[in-house]
Amino acid sequence: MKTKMNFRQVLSQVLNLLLVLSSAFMGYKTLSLMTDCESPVVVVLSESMEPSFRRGDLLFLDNRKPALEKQLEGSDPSLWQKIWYGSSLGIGDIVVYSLPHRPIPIVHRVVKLYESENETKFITKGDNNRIDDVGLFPRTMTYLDREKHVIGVVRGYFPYLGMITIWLTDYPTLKYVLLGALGLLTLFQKEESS
Amino acid sequence: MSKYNIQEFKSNFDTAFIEFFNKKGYKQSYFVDNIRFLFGFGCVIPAAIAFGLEHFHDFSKLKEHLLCLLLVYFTFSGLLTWWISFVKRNRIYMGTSPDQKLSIDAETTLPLKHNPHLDLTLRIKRGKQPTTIAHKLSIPVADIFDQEGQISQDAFSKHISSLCRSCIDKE
Repeated sequence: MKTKMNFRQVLSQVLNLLLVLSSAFMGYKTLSLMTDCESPVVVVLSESMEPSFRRGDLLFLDNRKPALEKQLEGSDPSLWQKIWYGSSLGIGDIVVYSLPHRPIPIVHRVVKLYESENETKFITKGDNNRIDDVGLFPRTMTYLDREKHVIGVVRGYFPYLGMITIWLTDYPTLKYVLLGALGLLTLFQKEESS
Repeated sequence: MSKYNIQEFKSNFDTAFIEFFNKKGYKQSYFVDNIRFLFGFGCVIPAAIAFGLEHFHDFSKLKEHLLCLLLVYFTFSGLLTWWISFVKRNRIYMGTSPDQKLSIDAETTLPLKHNPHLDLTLRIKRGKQPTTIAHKLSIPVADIFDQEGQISQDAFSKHISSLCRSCIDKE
């Protein structure tokens, strides 16, 4: 009987740990679904967008594209319409995009935009850079495509909150120590009742 | 056990209570815990599937199934929350007597940190009768635990035995 109880207690502790991990993961994926964005929260890693964004700032992205009918309805949608349907890309918007040969996405501002019925093409530039990003593109590319390259459009930010992620990336030992400590804390926390 | 740790007092009492009845030959029921495990793993499995789809394929593959997985996850999460809040509550023991004539259901709470009384609620159901009779007992922590914070087995057995005589044996 005692062995059976201990197995249940261990299973209960393991379940508690898995529930904590799964709730964090599914919460993040809910945000992904709502914003139609693979990574709805990203961290600024460079100083190319200063003074707008600094290294360590946390950015909140939205990749929804409002339907064409919504875009044609009125030239100036209300804030609520932008929140509910998403908003189309415009000059001055800050986007996060990825290039085929670069593993880390780039956060820069749209400076030129070419829109047609079927596609949206644009060029970006960092606020702290002197020239636009065309030099970063592969030789076959002269513009970015809204559908192919954009991860999301920046719709909000929180200063310096992403420094934790930068420290965990720069010092991997810290990541394993933190994860191990959290895991041990959950596993060894006593149940209130068996 | 650390001294003056109210949660550990309750946890040790719960464990001793369960062992007391199991030693008396009562058969413990794990129905409430089993359902909790079912709902809990019902939450974990869709999360694991979502993680696997993203890890072994890519986000576009996950996106096709994400809405379904999230609906299943939140349904089980809601059921789990309801089960823990309204069904399991502070229940520590459900069991049936050796002669199958009595079933008991015990809950313990420590309502106030500065009022170290352990409240025990014992519900007894005789045979297949629809009604249960609830007995409430408030046990001062100082009566059961010694100065080192360990359960005094004599004091514990005395309290629970008198409870059994007054409540269970009379039924």
